[in-house]
Amino acid sequence: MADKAQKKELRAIKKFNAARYREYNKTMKRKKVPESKYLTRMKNPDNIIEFDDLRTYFYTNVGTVKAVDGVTFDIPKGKTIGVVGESGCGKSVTSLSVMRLLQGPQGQIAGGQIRFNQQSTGRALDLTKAGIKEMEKIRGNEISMIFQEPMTTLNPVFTIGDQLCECISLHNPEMGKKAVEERALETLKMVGIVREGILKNYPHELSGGMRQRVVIAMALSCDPQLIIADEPTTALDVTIQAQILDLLRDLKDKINASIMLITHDLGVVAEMADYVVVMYAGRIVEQGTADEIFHHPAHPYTIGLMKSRPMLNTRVDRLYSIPGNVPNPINLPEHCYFKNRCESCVEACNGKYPELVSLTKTHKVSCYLHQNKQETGGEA
Amino acid sequence: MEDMQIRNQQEQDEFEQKQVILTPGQLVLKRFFRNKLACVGLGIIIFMVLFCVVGPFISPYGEAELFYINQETGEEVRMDSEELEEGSASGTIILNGRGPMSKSHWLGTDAEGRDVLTRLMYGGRVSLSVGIVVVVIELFLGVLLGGLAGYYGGKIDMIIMRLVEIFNCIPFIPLMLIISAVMFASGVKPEHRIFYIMGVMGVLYWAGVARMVRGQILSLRELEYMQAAEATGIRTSRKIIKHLVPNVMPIIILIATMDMGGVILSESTLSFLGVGIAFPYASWGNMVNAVNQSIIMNNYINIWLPPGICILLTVLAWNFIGDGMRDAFDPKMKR
Amino acid sequence: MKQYIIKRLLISILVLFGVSILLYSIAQMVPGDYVTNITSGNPNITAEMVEQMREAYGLDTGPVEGYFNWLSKAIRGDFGTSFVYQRPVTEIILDYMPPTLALAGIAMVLELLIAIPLGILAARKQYSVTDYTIVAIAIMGISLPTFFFAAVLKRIFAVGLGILPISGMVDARMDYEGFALFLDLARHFVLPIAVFVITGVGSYLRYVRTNMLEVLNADYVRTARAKGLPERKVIGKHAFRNTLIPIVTLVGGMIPGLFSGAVITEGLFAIEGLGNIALNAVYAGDIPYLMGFNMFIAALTLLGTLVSDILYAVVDPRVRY
Repeated sequence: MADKAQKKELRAIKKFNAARYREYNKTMKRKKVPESKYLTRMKNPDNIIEFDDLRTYFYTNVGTVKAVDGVTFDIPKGKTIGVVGESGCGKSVTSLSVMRLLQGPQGQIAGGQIRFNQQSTGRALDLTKAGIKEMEKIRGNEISMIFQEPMTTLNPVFTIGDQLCECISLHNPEMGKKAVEERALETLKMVGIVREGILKNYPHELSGGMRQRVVIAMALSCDPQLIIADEPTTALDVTIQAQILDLLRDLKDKINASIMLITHDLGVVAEMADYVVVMYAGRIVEQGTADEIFHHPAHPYTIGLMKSRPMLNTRVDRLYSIPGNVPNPINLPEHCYFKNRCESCVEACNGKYPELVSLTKTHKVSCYLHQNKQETGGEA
Repeated sequence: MEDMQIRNQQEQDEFEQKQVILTPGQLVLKRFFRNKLACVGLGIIIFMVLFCVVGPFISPYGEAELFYINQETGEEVRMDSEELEEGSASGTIILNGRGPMSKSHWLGTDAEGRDVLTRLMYGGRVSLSVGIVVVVIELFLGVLLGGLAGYYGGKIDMIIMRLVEIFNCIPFIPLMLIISAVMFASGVKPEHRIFYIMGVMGVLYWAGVARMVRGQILSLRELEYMQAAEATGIRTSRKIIKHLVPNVMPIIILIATMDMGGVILSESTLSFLGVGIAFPYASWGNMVNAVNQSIIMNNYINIWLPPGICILLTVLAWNFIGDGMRDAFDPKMKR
Repeated sequence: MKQYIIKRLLISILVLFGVSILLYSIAQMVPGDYVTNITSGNPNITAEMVEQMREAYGLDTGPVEGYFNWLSKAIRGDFGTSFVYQRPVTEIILDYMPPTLALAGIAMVLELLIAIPLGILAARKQYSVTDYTIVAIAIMGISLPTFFFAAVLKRIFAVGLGILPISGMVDARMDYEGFALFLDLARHFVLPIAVFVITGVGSYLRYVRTNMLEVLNADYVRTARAKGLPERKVIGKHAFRNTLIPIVTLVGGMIPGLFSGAVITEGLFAIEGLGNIALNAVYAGDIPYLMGFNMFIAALTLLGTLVSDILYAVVDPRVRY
């Protein structure tokens, strides 16, 4: 009997998904969308990107995975934002949503806005609604991305020069071949590659660290306003990691771009970020300045994360680890997702998901422990 | 505070207990049966097997039974009836060749006056059993040699792989032609031909199996758990039986289903060309052969179309099953 | 690179050697009185030829010595004399090669022209109706028995509608010349090639599709999109260039299948090519011709593999020999 009910459920899911896919193919694949559909206004003109209640869902055969479910935060101009959380918490999906690079039609943006402050035209665009043509102009030009796996992000059959120049000449059609090549060499120099004939090399002829530098150069080549770095150092070994981080930090000062740094490495965030966003199971549990998050963590999950990182000058027998596992992303419970792993949960935690509470102007947390502190903390 | 945590713990435990954990085998089956085409394929095969194995017992006629017709009365005369002798002598009773579709012969009779439907059943027996026997032979040889090559490597591998290359660079049909020519020359009895054909096809098909099994074993050997098994110092035989075989099984099952269709197709082609299964055995391939007489092609579709459709359906069914199997074993590699 | 080619060439020769041993030992299995039997009813065969044949198959000497005798001649391109045609096998192969090559060549080009774009299309629209239709047609094609499909097409187009010739290469009643002859030839080739291509294209189509799917899921395709390249360029340049690598290997491996296909199609449509002769040779017991034919295909196959190996290095910069 249970089998039959299950089958019925699966059929219902399939039908539901099919409707979503149809809708996706109708709306999202449109090449040109009238401007009025995606023009919006920024809440704060000093922000480069504003995420507003972003929801990105994956419609799978066994149910809807709410990979990102109601994420709201801003990236101010020229600042670096660190997004942290364990694997599968929705960090990468958030970044892919900005670029609209989700694997459709399974993965799609189900709601919310991503407002982008386009400086070249002085417009504010809602990236979730822009047409493909518009996105192509933005990708790699105004928002660029650095991926995790340098070994596979470069196309193995084209030379470094091909791939780098392709990007530059695509977004600067007025540049001649010579100028493009010069620009390519210049960006390579910026990331510390001054090798003769590098443009004629194939990716497999370079080491992992060198390849990641090339990827970074590619991201920088068109002077973007926002660089999304999705775990840029995870796949590299420790010494190379340090080099790449140094490079990123130098670049951060040199260029006038915002950086959205996605990582699960708290050390990297502490070094680089101005603001930190902590995500758990598709939602933001806490956000604030780096100082607030690192020195005054408020959410039990953040506290756990801080405790679980190795520290110098303190002797512990064994590193702290947060008990339990991330909940199943399908059919998430009504209550706080962290409840079952939380060491300090209270009766109220059985209620519905706690709302985001502002502790200070920048520091926000979503936890019942702080619900009553709102009044003393500052404005909502 | 304390009991809150205990309650949390309980909830967590409950949640974990409620989750149904399926064994890999169950998962594969579940995924397989979710594939509609694969289920259709399985249905066709089951139907064909019933049709060919049980059918002949239900059919009132024999495989090579000839039918005659009394020209005056239009009545059918069976081969063993007494009227036949006198009738044929006087010329009133003749062979009921290319009889029309009727109640007694649903698909009519063929040029020699045999019941097409009954022959279809017997032909299916031959086609299906050729498929099974050939696949068993090719698997035996291929798994053995491929396994040796993959497991031991070095010189053994070198020799076996060169052998595989040799077999790979002669196309099947031309090679089969030369073997048939030799069989004709050696005067092999037609009723024995079927066994030779099965053997020869099995031997010719092993190379592909060996290559795939070898590849699989090579990649398995690289995996950490094989090295871990090695590090524990268990006996070679145990290592092979406990760790290697279960992981090679999927690919073997896959090859078996995928090749089934191909073998049946090749056998029917050979039989059609007249170099495969021959009289007195019926095979779907040699039944289609009747189409070579232009009068049958033009006017007696009932003789050659049904066996052709049977071949098409059977091969299609095996391909669907093979596809379903591949998806079920490796969901990432969807087709 | 040069060294690699030489090495491959040497291995190919070794394999060819193995093929010849295999074929020779099959031919060896004929009974001792075979030559007498086969020649008894054929008035065209002279006593001298009988002697030649006995020698060729080592029926007089031993199998080993016989093999080396045969091999030393084979190396010089002498595969003996065909019983049926009373001419050297090499000569017959050269004479009847054009129709076979035309059939196989046109079919191969058409198969690639269909398989590559459709395979890519199916992969791009994975799980869509287009994808399912293409894959279903591909599986249908794979499962169709050639001879049966040919019969159905003949019944419909040649007998039923009467718009295409039923078999043969040229219309025997007419005496066409020049362009008219070419048109007549083309008309006769329509059905054979249709049969050939439809039954053969399926497996290549699925191969292209599988590989394209793999490439489309690769990180570098995502990178290309992240650069802002239009989809047309992402697929046409970045993805296609990478699927070209497995396609090149595919082309080398197509040759044996093409010849198997040619034998059947030529037989079905009575096209006077190598395959049809091979079929008749079986019934006539013309073993010298069959040996030569098989050796010819084996050599061609090895050549194809070699060429595709070299091409592989051209397309994939990671491969350096």
